[in-house]
Amino acid sequence: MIRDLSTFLYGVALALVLGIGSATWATGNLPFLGTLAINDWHANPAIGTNNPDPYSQAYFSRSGGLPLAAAEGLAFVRRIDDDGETLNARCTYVIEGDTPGARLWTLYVLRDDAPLASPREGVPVALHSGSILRFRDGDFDIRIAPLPQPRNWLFAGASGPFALALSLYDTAIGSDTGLADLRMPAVRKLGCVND
Amino acid sequence: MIRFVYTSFVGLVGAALVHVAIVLLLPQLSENDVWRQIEANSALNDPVRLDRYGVDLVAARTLDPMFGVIACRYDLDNGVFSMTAPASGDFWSVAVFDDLGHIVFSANDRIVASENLSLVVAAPLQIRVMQEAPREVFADSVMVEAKRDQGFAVLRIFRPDETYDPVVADFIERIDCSSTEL
Repeated sequence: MIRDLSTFLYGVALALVLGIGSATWATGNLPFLGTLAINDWHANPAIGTNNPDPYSQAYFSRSGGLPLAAAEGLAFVRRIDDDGETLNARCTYVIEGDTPGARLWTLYVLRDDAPLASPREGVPVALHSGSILRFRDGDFDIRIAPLPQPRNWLFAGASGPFALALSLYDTAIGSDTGLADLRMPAVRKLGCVND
Repeated sequence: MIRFVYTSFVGLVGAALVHVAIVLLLPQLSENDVWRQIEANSALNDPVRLDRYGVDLVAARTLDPMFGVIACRYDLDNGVFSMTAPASGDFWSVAVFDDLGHIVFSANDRIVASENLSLVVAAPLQIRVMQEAPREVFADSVMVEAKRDQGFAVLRIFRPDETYDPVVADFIERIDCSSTEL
């Protein structure tokens, strides 16, 4: 009798612990399945569509965020540079290249998954497609550094890890046919302070 | 031993069921999702600003800082929901969510026929009624069919810096959300 009961309890405990644990883990972050990755920029186009996968839906239900719908745009996030190292505000980076076709885009700094607030007026923590200088061919370069930079400057804080969010608005990229290569800007490290 | 292996196997199957149940039920059960936040912080058909210049919601923490975001909550029990906004000249987009957080519809200023936004959200039966007897007020409207009665519409307008404020403030002021009995 005791043995029956303990076996039963073991089975139930196993089901609950593994079930709840795995569900908590799986919905704590955006799912890896269905992500669109271009040059280490990651986006979840599935969330904006008619039938989002249950994991993306559960993630937004849990985190309480408000995703961009398909006709609005697509938000990309990037946490590493071209060498695969985590972005750190101590270092200077240059973002080079161009984005896929979009009506407009915004680029801003994320600290702890929330947009960084500007520490002082005039310190740029966010840029958009209409506010930057470009080269003759339409490409651009943006320098991320703790100190002011020539041309396009983005401030990511004095130190510590950060992420970049690039949101493309009114873009067809989510329904891309694969006929043309999608280009996303590269993020190259130039050097670090106190290295 | 066999008993232990058997129980472990049953436990794993149970774990899979618990996992699937939690993932699928989260939209219904979550206390924190964007619908609950909006429901608690806004009145029916009353535009509420969600970005950092408006009410302080958890949902607003991750919003694009270069956009003004306004939401209107609707209940189709009171009639069809309509949202109108004037032409602003700049980029805006709209998304309709239901009370489970599913996206029902989305559009931007290039998709709608006229420059003004005129959006109507209706239940399938209400759509049917309007198809049989079209309403003149909704002649230029984009029709959206929503299977669930409650939800909200979110309007985003480009606001990269404070120089856009006069335009954006005017736009927000002229957003109108209302319910019309059929």
